Amino acid sequence: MLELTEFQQDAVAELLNIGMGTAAASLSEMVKQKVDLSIPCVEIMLRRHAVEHIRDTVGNEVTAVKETFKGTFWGDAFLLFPESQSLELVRALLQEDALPLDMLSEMEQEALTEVGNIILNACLGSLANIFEQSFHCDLPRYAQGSCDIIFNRNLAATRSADAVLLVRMNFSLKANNINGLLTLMMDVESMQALTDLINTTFGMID
Amino acid sequence: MSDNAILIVDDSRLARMVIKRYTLSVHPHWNVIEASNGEEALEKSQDENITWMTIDYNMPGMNGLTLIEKLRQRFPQAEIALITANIQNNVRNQAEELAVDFIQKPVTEEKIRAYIER
Repeated sequence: MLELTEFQQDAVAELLNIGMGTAAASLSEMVKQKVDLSIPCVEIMLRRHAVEHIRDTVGNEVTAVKETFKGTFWGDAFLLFPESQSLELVRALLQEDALPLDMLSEMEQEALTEVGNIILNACLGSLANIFEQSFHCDLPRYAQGSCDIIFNRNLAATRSADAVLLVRMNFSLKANNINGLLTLMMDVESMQALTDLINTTFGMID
Repeated sequence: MSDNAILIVDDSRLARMVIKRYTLSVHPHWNVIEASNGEEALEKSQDENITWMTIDYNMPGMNGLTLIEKLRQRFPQAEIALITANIQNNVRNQAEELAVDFIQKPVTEEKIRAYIER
């Protein structure tokens, strides 16, 4: 299995840190409260272990917004949070509106898709700008259900099924008791392209 | 009815709702036309005199910059803003080349006010 050098691992973590910082600022602007971030975690692991990690963090029943990105490196970016917290997040977003519950539920999918779009683009856009590259990002896709269903659905479309680079960072909105997870998942070829780009951009040779 | 009409194009209903609300809080008599994609925007704006526009970038069908090029031919005097979550420099640069404002999502009251009150 491909391994990242300590420098590459640190570089990916730091880049995600910057990208997620931009994303957190956007989220904070939307919900008008502080967003706490964890330290980024970068690991190569089997895909099924990656799904287990995600399940351990956000639970089995999740709300997910996914954007596939394509460029010099490529993969899937996910915004995930426990399904039980999704309405609470919509409420935090629309706080000025005092919308009734039925209207909140009606808006849930569209509101969360837009939140995912803003957060994932802030993160991916930041990465693209650091590398002076451009990514094509697909339109955001919303899903609700078990981790197994959401991630196994992606498995069929993945070329290198087994090993993935999982980059993840937790975020929380303490005032609303909402915890979420932002992850990037890349296959081995993309991981290699990313590490090559890091070496080129930052002048490091393995 | 005001002489001003604003065209709000975004595939997110939430984004359209917020932009519309903040616009009407400043200019309650403006005519607001909403569309969820480029084709719909071209169709709905056909018989209107659009003076302001907010256009999303990532939408199903044509992207916001392509739509702006088409709408500019129809409404050469209109003020146009690209409102997008896509903060990549290449998108920002293209907006600059088309001489349109670039507003980074999330949409806030301050950003909309700054755009339509100038």
